[in-house]
Amino acid sequence: MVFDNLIIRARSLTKSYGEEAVLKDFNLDVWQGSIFGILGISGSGKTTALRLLAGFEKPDSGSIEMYNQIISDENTNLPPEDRNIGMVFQDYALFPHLNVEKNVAFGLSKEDLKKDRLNEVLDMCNLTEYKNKFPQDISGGQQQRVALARALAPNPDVILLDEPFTSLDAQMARKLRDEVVSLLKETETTAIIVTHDQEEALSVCDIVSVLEDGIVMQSATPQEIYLNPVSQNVANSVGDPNIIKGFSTEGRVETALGTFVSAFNGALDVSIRPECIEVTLDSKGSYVVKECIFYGHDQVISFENSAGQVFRSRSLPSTIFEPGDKVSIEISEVTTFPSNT
Amino acid sequence: MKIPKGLLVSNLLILSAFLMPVFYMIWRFFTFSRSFESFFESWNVYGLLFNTISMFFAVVFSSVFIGLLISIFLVRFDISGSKILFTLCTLPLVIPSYIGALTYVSAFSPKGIFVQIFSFTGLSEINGIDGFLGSWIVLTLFTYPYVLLICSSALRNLDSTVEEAARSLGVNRFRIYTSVVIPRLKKPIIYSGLLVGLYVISDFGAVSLMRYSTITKAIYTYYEFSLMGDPIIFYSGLLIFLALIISFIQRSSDVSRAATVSGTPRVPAKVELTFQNKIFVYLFLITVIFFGLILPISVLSYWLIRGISLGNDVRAVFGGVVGSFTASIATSFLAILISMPIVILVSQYKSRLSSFIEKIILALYGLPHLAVGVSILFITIKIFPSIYQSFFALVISYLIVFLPQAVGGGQASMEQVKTSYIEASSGLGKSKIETFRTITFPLIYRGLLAGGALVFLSTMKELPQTLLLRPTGFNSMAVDVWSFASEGLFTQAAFSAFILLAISAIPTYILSTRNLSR
Repeated sequence: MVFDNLIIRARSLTKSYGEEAVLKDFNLDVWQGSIFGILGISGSGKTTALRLLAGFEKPDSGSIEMYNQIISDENTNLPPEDRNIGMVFQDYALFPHLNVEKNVAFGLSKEDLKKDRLNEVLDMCNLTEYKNKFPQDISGGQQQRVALARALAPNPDVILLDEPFTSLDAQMARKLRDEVVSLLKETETTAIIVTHDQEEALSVCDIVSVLEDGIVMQSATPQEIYLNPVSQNVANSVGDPNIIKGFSTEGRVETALGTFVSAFNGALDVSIRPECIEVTLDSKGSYVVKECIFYGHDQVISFENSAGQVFRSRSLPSTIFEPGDKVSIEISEVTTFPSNT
Repeated sequence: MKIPKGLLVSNLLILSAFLMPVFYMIWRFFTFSRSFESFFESWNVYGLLFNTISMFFAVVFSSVFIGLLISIFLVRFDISGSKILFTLCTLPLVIPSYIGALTYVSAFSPKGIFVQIFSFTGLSEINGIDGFLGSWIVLTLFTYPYVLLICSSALRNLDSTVEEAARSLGVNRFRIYTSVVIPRLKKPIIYSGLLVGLYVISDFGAVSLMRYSTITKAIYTYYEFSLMGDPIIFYSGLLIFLALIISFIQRSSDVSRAATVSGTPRVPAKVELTFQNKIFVYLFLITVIFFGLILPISVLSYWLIRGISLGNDVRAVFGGVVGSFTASIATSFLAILISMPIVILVSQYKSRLSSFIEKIILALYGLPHLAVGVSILFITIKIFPSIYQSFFALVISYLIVFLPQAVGGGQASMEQVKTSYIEASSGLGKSKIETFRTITFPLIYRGLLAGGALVFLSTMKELPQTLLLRPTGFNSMAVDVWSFASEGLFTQAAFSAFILLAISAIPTYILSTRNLSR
């Protein structure tokens, strides 16, 4: 997919609450029509970033541009009602005294209403049959749809979604996620999704920013982030790799799991994702299975070497491993980072 | 969040106006022309204090006893008809103390209704119920429902796991109450007991009709004889001081802040009673209902019918009806208006300042009406003579004591307005004013109206402030009831009392049961 029109550009945003710096250096480029993800654990500053973009809070420093117009910096602060940015709140914030139809119509102008925009949106979000119900009388998934419909109705330039699926059960979340993505793509709506769920970020977004401690660590496509994380922290935030310490000389690093090629010399961390290690039963193998946890769609095998170091491998559940089985391994891909310590 | 200037200024203005009576009292206290000790030497201060405080303890004790006992009977025991019995037991709270006192004074006077009914037994005269005994009975009967409402709702929400644990440790079914249940209800008991206590020390209507000398009665006597000097200020200050101590202790055992068990509490099965015990429980409940509800209503009806058959002029009470309505409408309308900025500040801009303002407003609620009335009286005489004895001054005085009810109503509904609603609305392109009109107001107006209705009813029943501050020619139903009753004109008093009860009973019942058993 090619995006060529920059819609939001945020530069060096900072925000502190009292002594605590929540955002330290936040940068972001959002292209029109894309789904942009901000991935981070709670406390990483992701919700604050969203609130700055929406205009509910003012950054301490830095600037936000929309279509090359500054909407927020030291001197300007366009109020939220003038930004044309839609928002889906984590708790949905549906107005309890208005029914579904009135909630969705809330942000529509008289002209919009004349053009039947309301029914169009209700229809698009499959809400027509619930339109006379009140928010407290419909299910969580339906409430989520109403929140989305309400935000989409006035045709915002960008729509912000704050942890949109966390309050739903896993199955519902997955179903709704697919629905939302196809709706956003259909309507060519630009969206920014804040989430702590790596699977969600990787599967839904065109571009993902990994936010840690108020700083953007890496911004790239999901594939790039997963396969070429710039740091061990980023690698950890999108997977659970085996990390092995090593020291590289002449472009080669010796580790407990074998010798690998390295782009640089010195102390480094070798990161190997569990799915990149293939384990086979082998009576002459030099590793011993410690534990095998069965997940249904796959299984995770913990095994140790003669020195007692434990590693993890993820594989299809076709072979059954028992603790004590001897195994040999084959590694398909490794990543190396300069050591943190 | 930054507090908008206009909101801050309006809050500070309201607050300083409302604190004026208290500040005036404090200022007078420090500028007495004589030494402080001399007050204690020259008047009957100790006697009045003793009377007031002994009434406090007597009524608090008996109200807690009756209220708690009924709570346990109706919540924990298998009593058929417990719902209707509960309603009947809580109903006495709609009867103002002066109406209750009027019925007891007239029924049990030396040659009153009681003697007439039992004259066939040869009874010709009794000692009559008044003084300490009369006040004690009347105040207990019309205040125990507060204990009942608060304690029964606490008892209903009490998780029974601890009781089951106690029983598995060998404590028997009835000792559970003294060893586990009542100790765990300590907070609601103290809270409701002191609510009753606050009511007792501020009460003027019952003790004055019962001719029992307390501080409030002394204050009114000074006023009646136009002795508007230091003593009346001294007694009013003393009363405020007592009230503040009581409400301070009461607030520290606020039930709403007590730790609650998460999830739905486990409710124990209702205890089956033996036949004898059941009879005892029914007898107890029926006795309480008889004295708290049936007797006063019957006596009132008796006087009413007798008044009509004697051809008393019903028009005599019209002035009071009109006066009550005018004052109540004006007060409740202003209370809603004035409470709005306070409610917005307290619930939308949480800060140290807003919680301070909230505490002050709550403290106003405990102020004895008579003392506030005295302070306003002095302020209008000494500082603003132009509004002395004006309708305006009367309404201000009402507002000071009843504003907390309006704020409470608004605040409860404001809790529904989440910050994210306001943000969602502005995110959808609505201005601040538009957001208030379409989101905030529709969500809070019911609460504001409920608060306003409570102020309306309280104003209608208010007695001591009205007596002190009413403009010449102004009458209210409460004033009519009290003044006719204190002159022994019971048939006339019953007219006004009946109309007052007819208008206020049902809404008072609904609003107070809702507020107290939350």
